[in-house]
Amino acid sequence: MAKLFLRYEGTVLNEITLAKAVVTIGRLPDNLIGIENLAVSSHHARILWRDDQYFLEDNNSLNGTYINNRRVNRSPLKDGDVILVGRHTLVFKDDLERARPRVRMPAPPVLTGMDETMVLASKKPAEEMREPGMATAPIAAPEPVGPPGVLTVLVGKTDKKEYVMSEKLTIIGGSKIADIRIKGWFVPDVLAIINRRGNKYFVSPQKKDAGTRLNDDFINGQKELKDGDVIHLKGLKLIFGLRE
Amino acid sequence: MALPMAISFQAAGKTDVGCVRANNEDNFGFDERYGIHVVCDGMGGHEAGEEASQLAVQTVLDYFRNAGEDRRYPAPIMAVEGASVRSSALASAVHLANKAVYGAGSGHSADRRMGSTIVCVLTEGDFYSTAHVGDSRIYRIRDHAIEQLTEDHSLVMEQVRRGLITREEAEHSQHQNIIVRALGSEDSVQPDVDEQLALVGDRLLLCSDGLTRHLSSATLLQIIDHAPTPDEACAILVAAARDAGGEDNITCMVIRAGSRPWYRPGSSSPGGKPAWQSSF
Repeated sequence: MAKLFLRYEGTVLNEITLAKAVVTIGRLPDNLIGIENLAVSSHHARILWRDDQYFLEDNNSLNGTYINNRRVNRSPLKDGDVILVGRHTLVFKDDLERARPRVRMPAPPVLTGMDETMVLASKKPAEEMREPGMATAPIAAPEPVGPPGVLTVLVGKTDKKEYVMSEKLTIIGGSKIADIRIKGWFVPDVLAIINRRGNKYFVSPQKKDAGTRLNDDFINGQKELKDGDVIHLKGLKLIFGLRE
Repeated sequence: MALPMAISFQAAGKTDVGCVRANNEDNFGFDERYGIHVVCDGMGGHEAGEEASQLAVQTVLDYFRNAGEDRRYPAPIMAVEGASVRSSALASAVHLANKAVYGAGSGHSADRRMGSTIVCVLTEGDFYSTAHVGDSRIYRIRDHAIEQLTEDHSLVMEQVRRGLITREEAEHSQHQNIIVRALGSEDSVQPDVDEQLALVGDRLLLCSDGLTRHLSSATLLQIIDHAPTPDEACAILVAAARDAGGEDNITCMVIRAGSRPWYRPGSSSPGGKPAWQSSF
Protein backbone atom coordinates (compact mmCIF):
# COMPACT_ATOMS: atom_id res chain seq x y z
CA MET A 1 0.00 0.00 0.00
CA ALA A 2 1.32 3.45 -0.87
CA LYS A 3 2.27 5.80 1.91
CA LEU A 4 3.05 9.46 2.36
CA PHE A 5 5.56 10.76 4.86
CA LEU A 6 4.82 14.32 5.91
CA ARG A 7 8.05 16.10 6.70
CA TYR A 8 8.94 19.54 7.92
CA GLU A 9 12.54 20.72 8.31
CA GLY A 10 13.80 17.19 7.97
CA THR A 11 11.54 15.78 10.71
CA VAL A 12 8.84 13.27 9.89
CA LEU A 13 5.63 14.63 11.36
CA ASN A 14 3.22 12.02 10.14
CA GLU A 15 2.94 8.84 8.15
CA ILE A 16 -0.21 8.52 6.08
CA THR A 17 -1.38 5.36 4.34
CA LEU A 18 -3.26 6.10 1.15
CA ALA A 19 -6.33 4.00 1.83
CA LYS A 20 -8.85 6.13 -0.04
CA ALA A 21 -9.36 6.89 -3.70
CA VAL A 22 -9.17 10.62 -3.02
CA VAL A 23 -6.88 12.07 -0.37
CA THR A 24 -7.15 15.80 0.18
CA ILE A 25 -4.32 18.03 1.41
CA GLY A 26 -4.84 21.52 2.82
CA ARG A 27 -4.79 23.90 5.73
CA LEU A 28 -8.38 23.39 6.93
CA PRO A 29 -9.25 20.48 9.24
CA ASP A 30 -11.70 18.95 6.74
CA ASN A 31 -8.76 17.71 4.67
CA LEU A 32 -7.54 14.16 5.15
CA ILE A 33 -4.00 15.51 5.42
CA GLY A 34 -4.18 18.78 7.32
CA ILE A 35 -1.12 21.02 7.29
CA GLU A 36 -1.52 24.01 9.56
CA ASN A 37 0.72 26.52 7.87
CA LEU A 38 -0.09 29.83 6.22
CA ALA A 39 1.90 28.86 3.13
CA VAL A 40 -0.65 26.12 2.50
CA SER A 41 -3.99 26.93 0.87
CA SER A 42 -7.20 25.86 2.58
CA HIS A 43 -7.78 23.07 0.03
CA HIS A 44 -4.35 22.90 -1.55
CA ALA A 45 -4.13 19.68 -3.51
CA ARG A 46 -5.35 16.10 -3.64
CA ILE A 47 -4.06 12.67 -4.51
CA LEU A 48 -6.26 10.50 -6.71
CA TRP A 49 -6.22 6.83 -7.61
CA ARG A 50 -7.01 6.54 -11.33
CA ASP A 51 -6.16 3.96 -14.00
CA ASP A 52 -4.03 1.86 -11.71
CA GLN A 53 -1.86 4.71 -10.54
CA TYR A 54 -1.71 7.66 -8.19
CA PHE A 55 -2.01 11.22 -9.42
CA LEU A 56 -1.27 14.47 -7.64
CA GLU A 57 -3.60 17.31 -8.53
CA ASP A 58 -3.09 20.92 -7.50
CA ASN A 59 -6.31 22.64 -6.49
CA ASN A 60 -5.44 26.15 -7.79
CA SER A 61 -3.38 26.74 -4.68
CA LEU A 62 -1.74 30.11 -4.15
CA ASN A 63 1.81 28.85 -3.72
CA GLY A 64 1.55 25.87 -6.02
CA THR A 65 2.35 22.20 -5.62
CA TYR A 66 5.71 20.81 -6.69
CA ILE A 67 6.93 17.34 -7.47
CA ASN A 68 10.71 17.12 -7.30
CA ASN A 69 11.13 20.88 -7.84
CA ARG A 70 8.70 20.98 -10.76
CA ARG A 71 5.45 22.86 -10.40
CA VAL A 72 2.58 20.62 -11.42
CA ASN A 73 -1.14 20.89 -12.02
CA ARG A 74 -1.71 17.19 -12.40
CA SER A 75 0.96 14.58 -12.54
CA PRO A 76 1.33 10.85 -11.85
CA LEU A 77 3.29 9.90 -8.74
CA LYS A 78 6.23 7.54 -8.66
CA ASP A 79 7.89 5.85 -5.72
CA GLY A 80 10.28 8.29 -4.06
CA ASP A 81 8.69 11.45 -5.43
CA VAL A 82 9.05 14.47 -3.17
CA ILE A 83 5.96 16.68 -3.07
CA LEU A 84 6.36 20.22 -1.82
CA VAL A 85 3.33 21.96 -0.34
CA GLY A 86 4.15 25.34 1.19
CA ARG A 87 7.12 24.58 3.40
CA HIS A 88 6.19 20.96 4.05
CA THR A 89 7.29 18.00 2.01
CA LEU A 90 5.43 14.78 1.42
CA VAL A 91 7.50 11.83 0.34
CA PHE A 92 5.55 9.34 -1.71
CA LYS A 93 6.44 5.70 -1.11
CA ASP A 94 4.91 2.95 -3.19
CA ASP A 95 6.28 -0.51 -2.53
CA LEU A 96 4.31 -2.28 -5.25
CA GLU A 97 6.10 -3.80 -8.19
CA ARG A 98 4.04 -1.89 -10.77
CA ALA A 99 5.25 1.37 -9.35
CA ARG A 100 8.76 0.79 -10.62
CA PRO A 101 9.64 3.27 -13.31
CA ARG A 102 9.42 1.70 -16.72
CA VAL A 103 12.27 3.67 -18.17
CA ARG A 104 15.71 3.41 -16.74
CA MET A 105 16.79 6.63 -15.12
CA PRO A 106 19.96 8.18 -16.46
CA ALA A 107 22.87 8.41 -14.03
CA PRO A 108 22.02 10.91 -11.32
CA PRO A 109 23.67 14.30 -11.60
CA VAL A 110 24.20 14.32 -7.86
CA LEU A 111 27.87 14.26 -7.00
CA THR A 112 28.54 12.64 -3.70
CA GLY A 113 32.05 13.38 -2.70
CA MET A 114 33.92 12.40 0.38
CA ASP A 115 32.97 15.73 1.89
CA GLU A 116 29.32 14.92 1.30
CA THR A 117 28.73 18.12 -0.58
CA MET A 118 26.10 17.47 -3.20
CA VAL A 119 25.19 19.36 -6.31
CA LEU A 120 21.72 19.67 -7.69
CA ALA A 121 21.86 20.26 -11.38
CA SER A 122 19.16 22.77 -12.09
CA LYS A 123 18.75 22.17 -15.81
CA LYS A 124 18.34 18.41 -15.63
CA PRO A 125 14.91 16.91 -15.09
CA ALA A 126 14.21 17.33 -11.46
CA GLU A 127 12.97 13.80 -10.87
CA GLU A 128 16.51 12.55 -11.18
CA MET A 129 17.13 14.11 -7.84
CA ARG A 130 15.53 11.40 -5.87
CA GLU A 131 16.97 11.24 -2.45
CA PRO A 132 13.86 10.15 -0.56
CA GLY A 133 12.84 12.41 2.24
CA MET A 134 14.97 15.31 1.19
CA ALA A 135 13.26 18.63 1.66
CA THR A 136 13.49 20.30 -1.67
CA ALA A 137 12.73 23.68 -3.07
CA PRO A 138 12.13 24.55 -6.66
CA ILE A 139 15.21 26.07 -8.19
CA ALA A 140 14.77 29.34 -9.97
CA ALA A 141 15.80 29.65 -13.58
CA PRO A 142 17.77 32.84 -14.25
CA GLU A 143 15.23 35.53 -15.01
CA PRO A 144 15.49 37.38 -18.30
CA VAL A 145 17.19 40.76 -18.09
CA GLY A 146 14.60 43.51 -18.02
CA PRO A 147 14.86 47.19 -18.86
CA PRO A 148 17.59 49.11 -17.04
CA GLY A 149 16.98 51.28 -13.98
CA VAL A 150 17.11 55.05 -14.27
CA LEU A 151 18.36 57.67 -11.82
CA THR A 152 16.85 61.12 -12.22
CA VAL A 153 18.45 64.12 -10.56
CA LEU A 154 15.95 66.01 -8.40
CA VAL A 155 18.40 68.37 -6.69
CA GLY A 156 22.08 69.04 -7.34
CA LYS A 157 24.56 69.94 -10.06
CA THR A 158 25.50 66.99 -12.22
CA ASP A 159 26.69 66.55 -15.78
CA LYS A 160 23.31 65.14 -16.86
CA LYS A 161 19.76 65.17 -15.52
CA GLU A 162 19.01 61.53 -16.08
CA TYR A 163 21.17 58.41 -16.06
CA VAL A 164 20.20 55.06 -17.55
CA MET A 165 22.10 52.39 -15.64
CA SER A 166 22.61 49.64 -18.18
CA GLU A 167 26.08 48.72 -16.86
CA LYS A 168 26.84 46.50 -13.90
CA LEU A 169 28.63 49.29 -12.07
CA THR A 170 27.67 52.96 -11.80
CA ILE A 171 29.94 55.33 -9.90
CA ILE A 172 28.65 58.53 -8.31
CA GLY A 173 31.17 61.20 -7.32
CA GLY A 174 33.33 64.10 -8.41
CA SER A 175 36.03 62.03 -10.10
CA LYS A 176 36.66 61.98 -13.82
CA ILE A 177 35.86 58.27 -13.79
CA ALA A 178 32.44 58.78 -12.19
CA ASP A 179 29.47 57.88 -14.37
CA ILE A 180 27.28 60.28 -12.47
CA ARG A 181 29.57 63.26 -12.07
CA ILE A 182 28.82 65.84 -9.43
CA LYS A 183 30.05 69.33 -10.26
CA GLY A 184 31.51 71.73 -7.75
CA TRP A 185 34.39 72.17 -5.36
CA PHE A 186 35.51 69.66 -2.77
CA VAL A 187 33.34 66.84 -4.03
CA PRO A 188 34.85 63.48 -2.99
CA ASP A 189 36.04 61.38 -5.94
CA VAL A 190 33.60 58.60 -5.16
CA LEU A 191 30.55 58.98 -2.93
CA ALA A 192 28.61 55.84 -3.77
CA ILE A 193 28.38 53.03 -6.27
CA ILE A 194 25.38 51.24 -7.67
CA ASN A 195 25.63 47.57 -8.62
CA ARG A 196 23.29 45.97 -11.09
CA ARG A 197 22.67 42.27 -10.47
CA GLY A 198 20.24 40.87 -12.97
CA ASN A 199 17.20 43.08 -12.63
CA LYS A 200 18.09 44.32 -9.17
CA TYR A 201 20.05 47.40 -8.21
CA PHE A 202 21.99 47.96 -5.01
CA VAL A 203 23.44 51.21 -3.72
CA SER A 204 26.58 51.18 -1.53
CA PRO A 205 27.94 54.35 0.02
CA GLN A 206 31.73 54.52 -0.38
CA LYS A 207 32.42 57.26 2.13
CA LYS A 208 31.53 56.47 5.68
CA ASP A 209 31.03 60.02 6.96
CA ALA A 210 29.22 61.39 3.91
CA GLY A 211 25.79 60.93 5.52
CA THR A 212 24.28 59.03 2.61
CA ARG A 213 20.56 58.44 3.02
CA LEU A 214 18.07 56.20 1.26
CA ASN A 215 14.66 57.82 1.67
CA ASP A 216 14.78 58.75 5.37
CA ASP A 217 17.37 56.28 6.61
CA PHE A 218 21.11 56.75 6.86
CA ILE A 219 22.86 53.81 5.23
CA ASN A 220 26.31 52.32 5.60
CA GLY A 221 26.21 48.96 3.87
CA GLN A 222 24.61 47.99 0.62
CA LYS A 223 20.86 48.44 0.15
CA GLU A 224 18.59 47.26 -2.62
CA LEU A 225 16.88 50.03 -4.58
CA LYS A 226 13.13 49.89 -5.09
CA ASP A 227 11.14 51.84 -7.64
CA GLY A 228 10.66 55.40 -6.34
CA ASP A 229 13.48 55.32 -3.75
CA VAL A 230 15.26 58.61 -3.20
CA ILE A 231 19.01 58.70 -2.58
CA HIS A 232 20.44 61.69 -0.71
CA LEU A 233 24.15 62.29 -1.20
CA LYS A 234 25.93 65.47 -0.08
CA GLY A 235 23.67 68.08 -1.67
CA LEU A 236 22.43 65.67 -4.31
CA LYS A 237 19.00 64.10 -4.48
CA LEU A 238 18.36 61.28 -6.95
CA ILE A 239 15.22 59.27 -7.56
CA PHE A 240 15.45 55.68 -8.74
CA GLY A 241 12.99 54.24 -11.21
CA LEU A 242 12.60 51.02 -13.15
CA ARG A 243 11.51 51.71 -16.68
CA GLU A 244 8.61 49.76 -18.10
CA MET B 1 37.85 55.08 -19.15
CA ALA B 2 41.09 56.24 -17.57
CA LEU B 3 41.88 54.58 -14.30
CA PRO B 4 43.34 56.57 -11.45
CA MET B 5 45.66 53.67 -10.44
CA ALA B 6 46.04 54.81 -6.88
CA ILE B 7 45.71 51.36 -5.38
CA SER B 8 47.95 48.34 -5.29
CA PHE B 9 46.70 44.97 -4.17
CA GLN B 10 48.67 42.56 -2.03
CA ALA B 11 47.51 39.01 -1.45
CA ALA B 12 48.28 35.89 0.55
CA GLY B 13 46.60 32.50 0.66
CA LYS B 14 46.64 29.41 2.83
CA THR B 15 44.99 26.02 2.66
CA ASP B 16 44.80 23.30 5.27
CA VAL B 17 43.40 19.79 5.25
CA GLY B 18 41.61 20.41 8.58
CA CYS B 19 41.38 18.03 11.51
CA VAL B 20 39.02 15.36 10.22
CA ARG B 21 39.48 14.67 6.53
CA ALA B 22 42.30 12.67 5.03
CA ASN B 23 42.72 14.70 1.87
CA ASN B 24 42.52 18.34 0.88
CA GLU B 25 40.13 19.00 -1.99
CA ASP B 26 40.56 22.78 -1.81
CA ASN B 27 42.96 24.68 -4.02
CA PHE B 28 43.84 28.31 -4.52
CA GLY B 29 46.10 30.43 -6.67
CA PHE B 30 46.82 34.06 -7.38
CA ASP B 31 49.07 36.06 -9.61
CA GLU B 32 49.44 39.71 -8.75
CA ARG B 33 51.07 40.47 -12.10
CA TYR B 34 47.69 39.91 -13.73
CA GLY B 35 45.46 40.74 -10.76
CA ILE B 36 43.84 37.30 -10.65
CA HIS B 37 42.93 35.49 -7.41
CA VAL B 38 41.07 32.16 -7.20
CA VAL B 39 39.82 29.78 -4.49
CA CYS B 40 38.14 26.46 -5.36
CA ASP B 41 36.56 23.75 -3.21
CA GLY B 42 36.45 20.47 -5.10
CA MET B 43 34.14 17.51 -4.66
CA GLY B 44 34.08 13.95 -5.88
CA GLY B 45 35.52 10.70 -4.53
CA HIS B 46 38.86 9.00 -5.24
CA GLU B 47 40.89 12.19 -5.48
CA ALA B 48 38.55 13.60 -8.13
CA GLY B 49 37.83 16.56 -5.84
CA GLU B 50 41.48 17.59 -5.71
CA GLU B 51 41.79 17.20 -9.44
CA ALA B 52 38.68 19.29 -10.09
CA SER B 53 39.70 22.22 -7.90
CA GLN B 54 43.27 22.23 -9.15
CA LEU B 55 42.11 22.11 -12.75
CA ALA B 56 39.74 25.02 -12.17
CA VAL B 57 42.37 27.19 -10.47
CA GLN B 58 44.96 26.38 -13.14
CA THR B 59 42.56 27.11 -16.00
CA VAL B 60 41.66 30.53 -14.62
CA LEU B 61 45.28 31.48 -13.88
CA ASP B 62 46.35 30.35 -17.36
CA TYR B 63 43.65 32.44 -18.99
CA PHE B 64 45.04 35.62 -17.46
CA ARG B 65 48.69 34.65 -17.86
CA ASN B 66 48.09 34.07 -21.54
CA ALA B 67 46.46 37.47 -21.85
CA GLY B 68 49.65 39.02 -20.49
CA GLU B 69 50.31 42.10 -18.43
CA ASP B 70 48.75 44.42 -20.96
CA ARG B 71 45.63 42.31 -20.59
CA ARG B 72 44.81 41.39 -24.16
CA TYR B 73 41.89 39.16 -23.32
CA PRO B 74 40.52 36.82 -25.97
CA ALA B 75 37.03 37.57 -27.27
CA PRO B 76 34.66 36.79 -24.40
CA ILE B 77 32.89 33.43 -24.45
CA MET B 78 30.41 34.52 -21.84
CA ALA B 79 28.36 37.60 -22.53
CA VAL B 80 27.46 39.36 -19.29
CA GLU B 81 24.84 42.07 -19.56
CA GLY B 82 26.30 45.51 -18.91
CA ALA B 83 29.64 44.13 -17.79
CA SER B 84 33.06 45.69 -18.30
CA VAL B 85 35.74 43.98 -20.40
CA ARG B 86 37.34 42.90 -17.14
CA SER B 87 34.17 41.20 -15.88
CA SER B 88 33.50 39.50 -19.20
CA ALA B 89 37.05 38.13 -19.19
CA LEU B 90 36.56 36.79 -15.67
CA ALA B 91 33.23 35.18 -16.59
CA SER B 92 34.89 33.63 -19.65
CA ALA B 93 37.70 32.20 -17.53
CA VAL B 94 35.13 30.65 -15.17
CA HIS B 95 33.33 29.24 -18.18
CA LEU B 96 36.56 27.62 -19.41
CA ALA B 97 37.24 26.24 -15.94
CA ASN B 98 33.78 24.66 -16.00
CA LYS B 99 34.49 23.12 -19.39
CA ALA B 100 37.78 21.73 -18.13
CA VAL B 101 36.24 20.16 -15.02
CA TYR B 102 33.23 18.89 -16.93
CA GLY B 103 35.52 17.36 -19.57
CA ALA B 104 37.74 15.68 -16.99
CA GLY B 105 34.76 14.26 -15.12
CA SER B 106 32.66 13.04 -18.01
CA GLY B 107 33.57 9.80 -19.65
CA HIS B 108 34.43 8.37 -16.27
CA SER B 109 32.31 6.09 -14.15
CA ALA B 110 30.02 7.67 -11.60
CA ASP B 111 32.63 7.51 -8.83
CA ARG B 112 34.98 9.66 -10.88
CA ARG B 113 32.47 12.42 -11.39
CA MET B 114 33.86 15.67 -10.16
CA GLY B 115 32.84 19.18 -9.38
CA SER B 116 34.12 22.31 -7.73
CA THR B 117 33.03 25.64 -6.38
CA ILE B 118 34.91 28.74 -7.46
CA VAL B 119 35.34 32.29 -6.17
CA CYS B 120 37.62 34.68 -7.99
CA VAL B 121 38.63 38.31 -7.93
CA LEU B 122 40.23 40.19 -10.83
CA THR B 123 41.80 43.51 -9.90
CA GLU B 124 42.58 46.32 -12.31
CA GLY B 125 43.47 49.85 -11.31
CA ASP B 126 41.11 50.83 -8.53
CA PHE B 127 38.50 48.36 -9.64
CA TYR B 128 37.88 44.70 -9.22
CA SER B 129 35.41 42.17 -10.54
CA THR B 130 34.16 39.18 -8.62
CA ALA B 131 32.74 35.94 -9.95
CA HIS B 132 31.52 32.89 -8.11
CA VAL B 133 29.77 29.54 -8.44
CA GLY B 134 28.77 27.43 -5.44
CA ASP B 135 29.05 28.09 -1.72
CA SER B 136 32.56 29.49 -1.40
CA ARG B 137 32.42 33.15 -0.43
CA ILE B 138 33.94 36.60 -0.80
CA TYR B 139 33.79 39.07 2.06
CA ARG B 140 34.86 42.69 2.13
CA ILE B 141 36.24 44.27 5.28
CA ARG B 142 36.03 48.06 5.29
CA ASP B 143 35.83 50.62 8.10
CA HIS B 144 35.78 47.88 10.76
CA ALA B 145 32.73 46.27 9.19
CA ILE B 146 32.40 43.06 7.20
CA GLU B 147 30.08 42.50 4.27
CA GLN B 148 29.52 39.32 2.28
CA LEU B 149 29.78 40.20 -1.41
CA THR B 150 28.57 36.84 -2.72
CA GLU B 151 25.38 34.94 -2.20
CA ASP B 152 25.80 31.17 -1.84
CA HIS B 153 24.41 29.02 -4.62
CA SER B 154 23.06 26.62 -2.04
CA LEU B 155 19.70 24.97 -1.58
CA VAL B 156 19.14 26.76 1.72
CA MET B 157 19.91 30.21 0.26
CA GLU B 158 17.55 29.41 -2.61
CA GLN B 159 14.88 28.61 -0.04
CA VAL B 160 15.63 31.91 1.76
CA ARG B 161 15.31 33.83 -1.50
CA ARG B 162 11.93 32.24 -2.12
CA GLY B 163 10.80 33.05 1.38
CA LEU B 164 10.39 29.41 2.33
CA ILE B 165 12.74 29.63 5.30
CA THR B 166 14.42 32.45 7.22
CA ARG B 167 18.15 33.16 7.31
CA GLU B 168 18.27 31.85 10.87
CA GLU B 169 16.61 28.61 9.83
CA ALA B 170 19.06 28.37 6.93
CA GLU B 171 22.03 28.51 9.30
CA HIS B 172 20.71 25.50 11.17
CA SER B 173 19.35 23.54 8.24
CA GLN B 174 20.55 20.00 7.70
CA HIS B 175 20.73 20.69 3.97
CA GLN B 176 23.64 23.16 4.13
CA ASN B 177 25.78 20.76 2.13
CA ILE B 178 23.60 20.90 -0.97
CA ILE B 179 24.67 23.39 -3.59
CA VAL B 180 22.64 24.23 -6.66
CA ARG B 181 25.45 25.38 -8.94
CA ALA B 182 28.94 23.97 -9.38
CA LEU B 183 31.70 23.76 -11.94
CA GLY B 184 31.65 20.43 -13.73
CA SER B 185 28.06 19.35 -13.27
CA GLU B 186 26.90 20.56 -16.68
CA ASP B 187 28.60 21.70 -19.86
CA SER B 188 27.87 25.33 -19.12
CA VAL B 189 27.56 27.32 -15.93
CA GLN B 190 26.28 30.77 -15.05
CA PRO B 191 28.62 32.53 -12.61
CA ASP B 192 27.41 35.52 -10.60
CA VAL B 193 29.56 38.44 -11.69
CA ASP B 194 29.83 41.74 -9.87
CA GLU B 195 31.96 44.87 -10.09
CA GLN B 196 33.35 46.87 -7.22
CA LEU B 197 35.52 49.88 -6.55
CA ALA B 198 38.34 49.44 -4.06
CA LEU B 199 39.25 51.97 -1.41
CA VAL B 200 42.60 52.13 0.36
CA GLY B 201 42.39 49.89 3.41
CA ASP B 202 39.81 47.48 2.00
CA ARG B 203 40.51 43.82 2.55
CA LEU B 204 38.87 40.99 0.65
CA LEU B 205 38.54 37.48 2.01
CA LEU B 206 38.02 34.59 -0.41
CA CYS B 207 37.31 31.33 1.37
CA SER B 208 35.90 27.83 1.21
CA ASP B 209 33.03 26.74 3.46
CA GLY B 210 35.49 24.94 5.73
CA LEU B 211 36.37 28.38 7.10
CA THR B 212 32.90 29.91 7.35
CA ARG B 213 31.37 26.75 8.78
CA HIS B 214 33.35 27.34 11.96
CA LEU B 215 33.94 31.09 12.15
CA SER B 216 31.18 33.68 12.36
CA SER B 217 31.47 36.85 10.30
CA ALA B 218 32.17 38.77 13.53
CA THR B 219 35.16 36.50 14.18
CA LEU B 220 36.39 36.85 10.59
CA LEU B 221 36.19 40.64 10.96
CA GLN B 222 38.06 40.64 14.25
CA ILE B 223 40.89 38.49 12.91
CA ILE B 224 41.34 40.32 9.62
CA ASP B 225 41.00 43.76 11.19
CA HIS B 226 43.77 43.04 13.66
CA ALA B 227 46.22 41.10 11.50
CA PRO B 228 49.00 43.36 10.21
CA THR B 229 49.47 41.56 6.88
CA PRO B 230 47.40 39.27 4.62
CA ASP B 231 49.91 36.50 5.38
CA GLU B 232 49.32 36.69 9.10
CA ALA B 233 45.56 37.04 8.63
CA CYS B 234 45.49 33.75 6.68
CA ALA B 235 47.60 31.94 9.27
CA ILE B 236 45.33 33.05 12.14
CA LEU B 237 42.14 32.28 10.20
CA VAL B 238 43.26 28.72 9.47
CA ALA B 239 44.40 28.18 13.07
CA ALA B 240 41.06 29.49 14.39
CA ALA B 241 39.02 27.23 12.08
CA ARG B 242 41.14 24.24 13.16
CA ASP B 243 40.61 25.11 16.81
CA ALA B 244 36.87 25.24 16.21
CA GLY B 245 36.86 21.66 14.90
CA GLY B 246 38.30 21.81 11.39
CA GLU B 247 35.68 19.42 10.05
CA ASP B 248 36.31 20.30 6.41
CA ASN B 249 39.28 21.51 4.38
CA ILE B 250 40.03 25.14 5.18
CA THR B 251 41.15 27.64 2.57
CA CYS B 252 41.37 31.40 2.75
CA MET B 253 42.92 34.18 0.73
CA VAL B 254 43.20 37.76 1.91
CA ILE B 255 43.75 40.63 -0.52
CA ARG B 256 44.61 44.05 0.83
CA ALA B 257 44.10 47.27 -1.08
CA GLY B 258 46.98 49.56 -0.18
CA SER B 259 47.97 52.92 -1.57
CA ARG B 260 50.44 52.66 -4.40
CA PRO B 261 53.72 54.40 -3.61
CA TRP B 262 54.19 57.44 -5.87
CA TYR B 263 57.66 56.28 -6.84
CA ARG B 264 56.46 52.91 -8.16
CA PRO B 265 53.72 53.84 -10.56
CA GLY B 266 53.77 50.72 -12.66
CA SER B 267 54.61 48.06 -10.14
CA SER B 268 51.94 45.78 -8.85
CA SER B 269 53.59 44.48 -5.72
CA PRO B 270 55.04 46.85 -3.17
CA GLY B 271 56.65 44.21 -0.99
CA GLY B 272 59.48 41.77 -1.51
CA LYS B 273 57.25 38.72 -1.35
CA PRO B 274 56.40 36.55 -4.34
CA ALA B 275 53.80 38.11 -6.58
CA TRP B 276 52.15 34.79 -7.25
CA GLN B 277 51.42 31.68 -5.26
CA SER B 278 49.35 28.57 -5.61
CA SER B 279 48.50 25.64 -3.41
CA PHE B 280 49.87 23.03 -5.79
